[in-house]
Amino acid sequence: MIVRAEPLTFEVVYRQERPGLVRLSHLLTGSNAVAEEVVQEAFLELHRRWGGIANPKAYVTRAVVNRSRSVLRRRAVERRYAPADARVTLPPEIDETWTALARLPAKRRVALVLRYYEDRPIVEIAELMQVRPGTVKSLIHRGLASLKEQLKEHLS
Amino acid sequence: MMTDHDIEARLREALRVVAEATALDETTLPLVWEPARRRWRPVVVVAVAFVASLVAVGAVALIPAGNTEPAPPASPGIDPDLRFPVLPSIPGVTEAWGDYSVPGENAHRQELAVGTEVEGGFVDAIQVTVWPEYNLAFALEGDTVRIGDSEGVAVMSPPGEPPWVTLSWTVGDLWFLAHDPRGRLDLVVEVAEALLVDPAAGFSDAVVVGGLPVDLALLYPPTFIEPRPQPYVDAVADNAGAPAVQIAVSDAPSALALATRFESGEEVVVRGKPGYLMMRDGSLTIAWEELPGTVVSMTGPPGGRLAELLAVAEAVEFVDEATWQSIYDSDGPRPIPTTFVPPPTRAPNTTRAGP
Repeated sequence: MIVRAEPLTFEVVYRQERPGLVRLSHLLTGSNAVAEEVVQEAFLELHRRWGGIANPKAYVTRAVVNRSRSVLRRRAVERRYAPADARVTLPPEIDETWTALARLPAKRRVALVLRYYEDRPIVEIAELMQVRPGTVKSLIHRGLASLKEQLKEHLS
Repeated sequence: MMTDHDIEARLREALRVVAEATALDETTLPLVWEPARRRWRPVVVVAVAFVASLVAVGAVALIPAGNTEPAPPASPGIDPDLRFPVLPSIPGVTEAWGDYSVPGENAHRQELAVGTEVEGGFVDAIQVTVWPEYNLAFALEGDTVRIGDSEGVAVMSPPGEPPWVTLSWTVGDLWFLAHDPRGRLDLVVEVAEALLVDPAAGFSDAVVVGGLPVDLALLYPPTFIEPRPQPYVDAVADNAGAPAVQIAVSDAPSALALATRFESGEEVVVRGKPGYLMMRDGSLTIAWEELPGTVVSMTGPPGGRLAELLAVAEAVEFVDEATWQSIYDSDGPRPIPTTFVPPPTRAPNTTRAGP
């Protein structure tokens, strides 16, 4: 028999998940400030639907990934007009990789971040991105190839 | 020569470093509102996680289907009459897992919905939830909006996105959240102004709906929600990313109440019972009242068809908690016991209600 012990309140989910989700959204959107907004909206949505959501952690994670992807899609249009986000100083090699990642199409970037930062299995990434696992594999393969090409150009 | 391994290693390191450099606005973390006085107990919707307790108890009875061992009694706090859903075999689906949350004693709230009634359903629903007091774990940031003599905070969808708005305001201790998936802020404010509070009444009767804006009907009157466990099952196909099917028992008091949590709903017949069909993010959801007080929703994959969803619903079985626990593992996906539930013996009912 399973005995349930630890209450999982909204506040507990918020405290446990928020820092990681802000980091994840930062990696996905490239903006710390946007990440804060994305995560607030996702938690507000979670709270509003709390009574009807069975798995709140999965729900809010998916909401953050989806909203971050929306930001990326929007930014692709607005990029030339958008002010640069305040950036921390990064070591050169890290900065090159981060900049190369930022140039990738939104879907490839999301797939790479979920794979190489979160270490999520392909099937989970597919679920979060709402695409087939084969598509995720393709996005990761193409994303890595693009990164390699960009970094090679930079080195040459 | 840069290898794939080198690229992966560089990427991992870059992501780790940037993630660690992420500034977390700690000031928003502890902002749980503490009212000066409490008319009602603080409301916190409580769910209870399985995983830690699995470890703590260490004796989970995952009995294979057909096992003749006597089933263990229901877990503490679980109504023995509560029915738990079991999905049938679904072509292409190889794994499923189930879990459920147990709400705390003070997870009470009220819900209501307004919208436009149409033949065979409703559209443009605006959902309102009321809690005895503010219980969000952070301070909302958004535009300040006048609501009668008080103020609210409107959080709106970003520019360029499909419009939605969520309006937050308080009346005394009561905390209101109204959400319009269509983003009609002016209309939501009018709805907010139509909601009256009777300070002399207890929480479950405190909200009264006054004159609504023209063309808006009260779809679902203010209803006190009694928290209850909400078991669910996710079934995942091996060749598709998103869950193929999710079925859940809701705490909604009726199929209509559940349906009004969506923007629109269309009447359908599910398992011979009146229900509703809704859509969100390209996925269909059906809701029906399986038994008095047991409201169930089932969601299909993006792009899925109603007939397929109804066919799966036809073959769903409802069992007691112990039997359910012998089938589904809350700690992760496991193969579906395809022999447990027999295939449907009758043709799926795919008839839509209404004209």
